[in-house]
Amino acid sequence: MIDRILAIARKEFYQIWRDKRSLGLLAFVPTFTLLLFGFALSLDVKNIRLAIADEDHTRESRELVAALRHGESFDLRGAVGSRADVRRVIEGDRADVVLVIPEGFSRRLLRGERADVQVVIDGSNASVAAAAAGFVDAYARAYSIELQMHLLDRAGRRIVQPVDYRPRVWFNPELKSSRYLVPGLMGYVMIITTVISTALSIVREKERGTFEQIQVSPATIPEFMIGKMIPYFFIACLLAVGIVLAGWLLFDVPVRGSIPMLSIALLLFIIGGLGMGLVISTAAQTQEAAFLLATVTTALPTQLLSGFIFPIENMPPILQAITTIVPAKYLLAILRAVLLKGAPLEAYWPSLAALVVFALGTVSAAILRLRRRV
Amino acid sequence: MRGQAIRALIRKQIIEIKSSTQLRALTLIAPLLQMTLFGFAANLDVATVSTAIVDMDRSARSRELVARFESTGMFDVRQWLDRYDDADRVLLDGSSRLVIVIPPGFSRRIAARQPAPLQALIDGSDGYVAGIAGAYAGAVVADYSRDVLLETQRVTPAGRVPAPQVEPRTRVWYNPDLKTRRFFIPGIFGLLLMITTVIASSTSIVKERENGTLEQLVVSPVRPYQIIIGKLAPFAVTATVTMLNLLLLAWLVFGISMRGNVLLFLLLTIVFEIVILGLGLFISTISRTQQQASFTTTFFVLPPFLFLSGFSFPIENMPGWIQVLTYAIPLRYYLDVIRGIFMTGAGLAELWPSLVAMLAIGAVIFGASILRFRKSLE
Amino acid sequence: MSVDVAPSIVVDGLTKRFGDFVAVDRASFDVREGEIFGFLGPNGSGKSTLIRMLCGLLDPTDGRASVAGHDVSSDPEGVKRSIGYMSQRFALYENMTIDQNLDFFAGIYEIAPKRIAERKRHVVEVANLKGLEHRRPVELPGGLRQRLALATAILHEPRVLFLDEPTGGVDPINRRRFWDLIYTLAEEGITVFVTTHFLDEAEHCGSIGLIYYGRLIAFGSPAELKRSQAAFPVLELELPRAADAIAVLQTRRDLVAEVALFGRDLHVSVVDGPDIERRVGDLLARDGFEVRRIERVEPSLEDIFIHLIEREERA
Repeated sequence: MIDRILAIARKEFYQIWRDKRSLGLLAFVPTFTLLLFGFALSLDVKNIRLAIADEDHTRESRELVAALRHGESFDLRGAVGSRADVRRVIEGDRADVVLVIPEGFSRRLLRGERADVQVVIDGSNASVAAAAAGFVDAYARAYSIELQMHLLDRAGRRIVQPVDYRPRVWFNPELKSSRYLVPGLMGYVMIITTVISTALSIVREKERGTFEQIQVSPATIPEFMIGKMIPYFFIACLLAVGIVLAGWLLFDVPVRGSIPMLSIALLLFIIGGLGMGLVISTAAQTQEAAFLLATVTTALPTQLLSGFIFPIENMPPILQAITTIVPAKYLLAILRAVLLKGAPLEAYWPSLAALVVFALGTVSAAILRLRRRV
Repeated sequence: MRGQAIRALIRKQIIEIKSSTQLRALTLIAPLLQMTLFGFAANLDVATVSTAIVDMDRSARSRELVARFESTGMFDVRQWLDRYDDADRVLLDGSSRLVIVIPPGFSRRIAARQPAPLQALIDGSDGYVAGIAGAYAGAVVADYSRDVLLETQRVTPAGRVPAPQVEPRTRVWYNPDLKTRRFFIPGIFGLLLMITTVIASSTSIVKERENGTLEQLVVSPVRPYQIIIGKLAPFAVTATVTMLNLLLLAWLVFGISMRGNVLLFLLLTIVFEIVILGLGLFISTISRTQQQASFTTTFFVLPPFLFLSGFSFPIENMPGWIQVLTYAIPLRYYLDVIRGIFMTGAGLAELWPSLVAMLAIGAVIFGASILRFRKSLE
Repeated sequence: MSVDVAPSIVVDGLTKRFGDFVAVDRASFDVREGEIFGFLGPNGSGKSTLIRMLCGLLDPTDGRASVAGHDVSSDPEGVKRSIGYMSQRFALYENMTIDQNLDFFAGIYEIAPKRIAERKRHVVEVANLKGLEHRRPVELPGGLRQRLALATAILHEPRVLFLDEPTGGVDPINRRRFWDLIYTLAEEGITVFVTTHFLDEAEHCGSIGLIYYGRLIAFGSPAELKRSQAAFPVLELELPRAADAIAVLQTRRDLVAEVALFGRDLHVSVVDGPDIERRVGDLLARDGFEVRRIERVEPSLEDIFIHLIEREERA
């Protein structure tokens, strides 16, 4: 049995080797993709373009503006002459946010009262807009408290803020978005690589009419499947190692948890992905259909439904149910748990179990489907 | 006879397209299905943050504070923990993203006008949530603190406590509900259109090369440009049909309609489609087999379109040198176009740079493809 | 064939170089109109390169060629309009019916719409495919597929036909039928340029060319070739352990030019001289070989080609 499997694997590997371009693409480009996008991508909302219309021209209005400029959140783009210009600035896309400080602002504040300011936000990029609203709010609050302490101080009163609030961020204190995006990228790269490598393999033989070779070969169907998977399995394993190393060395993604567990998860995922590609290969009638199926079942679902960018908790329940069939979701959960959190098995065993189902399920399905055809 | 060859080529391509029912069904259904799914999924609005409370004080004040958190509707308090150590567990297994720890003596210290510590543990492994959760938690605590201050220290010998408060009155233009969906659905639209189109056009030519029929065309008097038009024209039609289907879906299911000019949208979409067809053509000139075409597309073409076009990751956040790369991605301009027309009702006056950019990229792609195509025929 | 008939294919010093590699080296020959020209040679010898140049697909590096009066370098379009081509692999559309395939090629070659129906009828009849117009090629057996490909190639009434190993994988009966078709076309005045590995097919050709690693090492009618090589008479020997006898014979270079197995017999190209049969027979008898039969035979094309190739290899 082993001999037959190895023979098929050798033939498959030889075919890959002869097609140097495909080999190169498979071996190097995914890592390159990871590297490029690891550096490129960030969900941090920073440098939001801010324009100011200061109709008060007081020390307090300037202090407020200074407070907003202080961190990385806002990038002051200039002053707006009057309220009429606000529309032009937003529509002309020269600023995302315009702050209008009306006359009388300082007067009211110094009397210890509430003073309104107008904030106009360009909502066409919703994530920027939401973040902008939140930041303005936070800075306004912080400034108000500071001013309050200052006023009290001037009046010679000692007041103590009642609550001593200490927030701590775990697992990723600097909130570097690359730390949680890179695992997502890893999942994406792994699934597209494994699925596409096997997705065209069987249907290609069907199209070329060399399918009989499968039928007359002495190997059984499972032996055939395993043999076909082996070369891609090794390539994917190398890829996985490369990715984890790259994450660690270049993107500050630590490996805090159990490496054996991580390896098991990755192995299961690789097997499942290859199996999924084989299932597609047995279902498609043409290579083009296989290509289309492979792409639509991996690229967008992984990006949008695996928890890579959009939190799954925020999705409507039906959709959350659908995410149970997105394999990358489980890998991502495990990657985040093991790499970032250093969590023990109890914390992520459901995801690991799901990957076992994924691996066994797809390979069995592929074998069953091929049996029916042959 | 004029155009006789091109017509024959187009007719042949149409027959090819019709010949595989499975493929036709896939090309029709897959984008619609995906648009539906992802339209609902693409949601960055953080509805609620799963929260756990460790209340070691168990006083009226601590309960009041927790009530504050709950009343904002932002925090979904799911777990009440007894011990501090439990906080570890829930953060590790992700069942809560935020843990509020109220130490014993909280209430007492407030009454004694001493600073009362309050801890919040935030799960940073999902940074977007963490940022928002942290900001809102901070806001709730700040409000609470201020109210306590006013309450406990209002009447003093020296008089009332001044309470200056800067109050932002926020108005959001173009997307008042801040529905991220309105922002993402046009992006999903563009992406689906691009995927189906590039796959179809790239594999079609490579297939002819693979099964030898291209050679037969080459020995005939047919010119390369005729072959190209004969191949791509039918795909332009199918792409437009896909586009119209998606448009209809966006309107019916998500209630998203265009604020701008429909004709302008159609024109710009057709330009985009042609550019993508050219891209598929180029891929086919550098691939000898469909397998190679699929690898090239999967690894070289799709990732930049998915990640660098501004679809989900803001281009402004990218390092400078990568931002330069994004200028070469046609989807980037098409996204500006769709979002412009769908959200802000932009017209040609605002969108002409995107149009020019797409035309320029299209010209380069087609130029390179035609040269390579001619060479590859030898 | 009358000598006054105009040459349909003229090749003069045609050369193709890829960098340092010379694929075709100064090939020169003519093919007359209505002639069937057989083109042979080992794989990788430059057969495809030469054909591609003649079809106007590849620019020659040196030399000239004209096909049906069109120069391949300056007027490739004219060449393409005047030729029909049938490739080694089946190159029609499996997803379309025969009728649709014919319509397609009629459109590609821009046949006047008025004439299309008639041309289709004609080629269907000539290729004996009547009644099958609504079938798809994938449903047809090998022999019919080849005839369909040929029918498509003559749809636009080309004056020259290039057939690249047209009968590969076809059974003998269908091969025969196919060659009957080729004769019919040649009689109509169409020049047919065939590449083949089957030497019996080469015998049917009006003239033959043998290309060996870029160089044309033989050209002429089968009869001419056999006569020219008659300088080396061929003896056919029937004896047991024929393979072992080869080594023995090769030791006597004064007597023996070449030895090759021919079925179970030996064909020996000998140096002409008196009594050569007896001398060879004695040579073998002395080494214990029981020669049952020795006789002179006319060298076959295979003998001639092997001789020529081995001569090249020794050079």
